[in-house]
Amino acid sequence: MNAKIHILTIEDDKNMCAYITALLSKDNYRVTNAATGREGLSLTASLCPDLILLDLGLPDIDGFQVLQQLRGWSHVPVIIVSACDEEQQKVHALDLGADDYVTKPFYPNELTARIRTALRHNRTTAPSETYRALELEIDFDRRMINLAGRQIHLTQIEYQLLSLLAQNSGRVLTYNAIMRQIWGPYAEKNNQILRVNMANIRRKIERNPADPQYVFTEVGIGYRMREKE
Amino acid sequence: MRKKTQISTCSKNHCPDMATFLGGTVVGTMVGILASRLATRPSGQKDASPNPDLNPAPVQVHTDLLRAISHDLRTPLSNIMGNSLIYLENHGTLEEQERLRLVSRIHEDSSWLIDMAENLLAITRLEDIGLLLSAREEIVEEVLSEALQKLEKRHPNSAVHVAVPESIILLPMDAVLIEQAVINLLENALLHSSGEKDVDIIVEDGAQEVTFLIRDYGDSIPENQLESCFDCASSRTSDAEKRSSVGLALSKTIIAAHQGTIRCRNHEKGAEFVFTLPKRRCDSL
Repeated sequence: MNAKIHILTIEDDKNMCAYITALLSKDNYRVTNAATGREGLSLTASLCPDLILLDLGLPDIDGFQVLQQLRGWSHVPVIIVSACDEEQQKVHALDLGADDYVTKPFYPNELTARIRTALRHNRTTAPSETYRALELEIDFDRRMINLAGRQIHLTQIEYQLLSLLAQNSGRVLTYNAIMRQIWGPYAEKNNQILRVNMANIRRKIERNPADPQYVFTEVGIGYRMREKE
Repeated sequence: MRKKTQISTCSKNHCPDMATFLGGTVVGTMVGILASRLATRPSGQKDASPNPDLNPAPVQVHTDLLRAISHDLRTPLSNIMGNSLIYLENHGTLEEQERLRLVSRIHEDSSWLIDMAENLLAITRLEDIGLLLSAREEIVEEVLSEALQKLEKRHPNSAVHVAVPESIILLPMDAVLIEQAVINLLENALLHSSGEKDVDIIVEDGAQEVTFLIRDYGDSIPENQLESCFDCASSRTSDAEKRSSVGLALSKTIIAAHQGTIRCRNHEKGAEFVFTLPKRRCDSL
């Protein structure tokens, strides 16, 4: 059997649906459209898609509600595709359990890359043993980091941060999510400690901290590590 | 080498051939409106501004704004509408090359509208800036790196080199706005750069302020344009020239809203724009 990966778009704009369908069909995905939030929820239950592209501005219930309801019973990867560019909205959606966020207008390859990343993370549940991209290598078992063959020394916290990002490479992690993971549920609200630690990591692994190759900043949202190879 | 004396402001709009920036009138007008909103002088005191255009009555502002928007959206929208119609009605008889040309023009005009949307969003954010500045500090390199990533998306292979000090610099700012200002300055620099050498961004950490220098190696700014400032509302330039100067006008407004300064000048092999951002929190805004 050679079932195509099935993607459900929950989007009310017909042209956007047509565009996404054309784009994804070209990459050999099967695409189904739902024009309202409720239709999206019921199609998710009946069709069990492999991934959902969710618009936030829907005619019946808004995308946040769809996401919230969906997360009550499904772990299907959800990528928000929205025209809204406010950081708070993105953070809110990610904290509600969205896997990623793409802002309209997006470039075609941007969307397909995010889809591939989300699908990959959904397939592999066990944490990987290594991360490798460009000249950076992380061996999670031995807690070793190599950059161009040279061993890099990180502090305990720095290592935890980098390995968390590396285990989730390609997807954005919000400040909140990282703070909770590293500093625990009672971590301070202020994320300055996180950002200063990240700046220190950049100085150890990036050639030019202002033009990074490995850890990218999404200002106001969080960090995204380069997808592993 | 990097003296800051005798720096004049200018709009470097002498190369009107690339569809990069916003329509002049739109942002020109909006910049004017925002300048008047952001100014700290008491309301109703109209003569405080040296430029009467910057402080029009609110109703007039509204009308001007709407007129300007519709005016400047019309050109790219007409192009998109027209080119796609030509395609739809004649695709059977058009030469392959002509079809490609039509679609690339549609693509070009829509990219231009995307830039416009970014800049328009930036303008709406300017209204809440006082609140944001008192609450948020950003790491300079993070803001610059995101600006570079966005630029790279729109202009793949754009050659920009950025140098920041080893120390971590935290500055009170609205990162989205500063990013937009930097992108606009970089797009302008790329537009005028000869391509022989990367555009440079150099950050210098001072006691009171942080200085950002964006230097290109290419055309210098004609002397007669050194005097005309970043504002583009008054200049009667061609549509294409406006696109470039509008980005600069918006950058200036953003920097001013952060209580920083911005200037430009020529150097031996091109031009450079210098802006500063103060280190203290801008509670007074």
